[in-house]
Amino acid sequence: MTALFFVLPILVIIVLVVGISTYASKSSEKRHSSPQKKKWIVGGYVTVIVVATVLSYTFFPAKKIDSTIMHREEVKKQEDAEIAIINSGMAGKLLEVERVFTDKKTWTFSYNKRDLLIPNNDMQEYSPNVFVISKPVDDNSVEVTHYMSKMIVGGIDFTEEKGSPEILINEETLKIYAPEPVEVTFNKFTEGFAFNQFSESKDMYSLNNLSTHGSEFLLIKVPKSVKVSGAFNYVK
Amino acid sequence: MSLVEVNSWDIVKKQYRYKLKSYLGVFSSLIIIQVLAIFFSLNGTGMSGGSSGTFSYKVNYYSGDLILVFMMLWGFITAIIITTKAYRYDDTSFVTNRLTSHFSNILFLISASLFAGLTVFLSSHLFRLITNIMNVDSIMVNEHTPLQIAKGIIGAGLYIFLFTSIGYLVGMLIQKNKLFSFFLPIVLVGAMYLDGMNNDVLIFHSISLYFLSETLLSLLIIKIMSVSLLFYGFAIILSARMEVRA
Repeated sequence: MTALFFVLPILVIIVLVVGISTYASKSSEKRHSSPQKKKWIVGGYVTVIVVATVLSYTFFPAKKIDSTIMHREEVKKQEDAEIAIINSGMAGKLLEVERVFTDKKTWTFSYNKRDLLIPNNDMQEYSPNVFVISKPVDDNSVEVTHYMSKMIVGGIDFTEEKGSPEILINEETLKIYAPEPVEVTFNKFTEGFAFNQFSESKDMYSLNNLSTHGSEFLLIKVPKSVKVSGAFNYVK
Repeated sequence: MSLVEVNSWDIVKKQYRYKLKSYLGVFSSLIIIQVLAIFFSLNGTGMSGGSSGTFSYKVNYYSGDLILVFMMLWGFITAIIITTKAYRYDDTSFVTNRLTSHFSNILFLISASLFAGLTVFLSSHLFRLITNIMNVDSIMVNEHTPLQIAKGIIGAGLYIFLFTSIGYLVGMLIQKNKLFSFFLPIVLVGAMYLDGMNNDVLIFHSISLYFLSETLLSLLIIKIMSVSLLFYGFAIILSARMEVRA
């Protein structure tokens, strides 16, 4: 039954194509319509599709996917570098982040208390890594920076679309709220597999070759005398 | 007895020109099938999605794949049709033999396939235009260079030509013995069923991959032409023992 479910549409298509081809050829034999009329029909159709092609390139230009944004090897390299930085932070010594991550948003809070609690966010759908640096001075301010690496889906950079969390300091607690959910819908067009075969993007349906979901973390800089507790890693 | 020496190549050329002019039904069926393929493709040819934390995405795919597949089927059926008696007897209006008739048929099918390959590219843009008008905005495209487009058109033509060669052989088998028209679909569907029994279409997948994995046009031409000529060769050998027109 399941096999029939899959085969049936193919059979319907085959019957349609066979029927149309046979009918058109047989009617040609019987001279239902004059050859001149048929030439006009073929010529007219070719004109329509040529005009459509010109219009689709000129009046309806599509956004071009820059398939050279990241190649498979570059995606792998990027992901490895992200993991190395996150792991270094977990180990207490954060490597240079600027090469891989960009600071997406920074918050500065004036803070004159002695303790700061960062509650565990594990039960939420959003729980970024949190790294804390103790500043060499007591400047009465807490700085929070949201770092994010590139988020690329199918060769398209969505880093800008992905939002930053909301950070609030309430009394002695720093609260991290998940960013607003973002849902992106996009359409991909290609002329067909014969055309992709000779280009770099061989399989239009496979996004994995050019995709990386990216990583993110929060870097919190606290005054020298503030004692931090909760879910975080101290880094140097 | 004629005093005029007849050159086989000249006859092939004459028959080829005649077929281009008179087999217009082949091209009108191409139009109907392409319009049908565009209609079937309008809903999109695929969809995928994913999420990362609070970010989720959905991708709708619009491609000319279905148009090309329909054209491959069209090539297959067209080749079967031109092996029928009615079409074969058309050639008797020329001084001809079976070989010249076959050669002119092959030349005609090459031309028809390349024309179909070109229209696959053009009609896929008609399809894109319709989807644009239907408010499917923000369409992303894989940028193809003019050279890649030219290669794609030739590639599409080659795939259609491959199917014409299969159709030509099937047509000849059916002309040889009508029982083949019952057995061949049964054998094909049976083979597909057996191949897919373990949810893994090994044989058909390997055959497709043999052609689809080729990134060099020159090698694709060699692969498709050698397989096609093999099928045409079998068809020509088969026709050698067929009855002649009285």
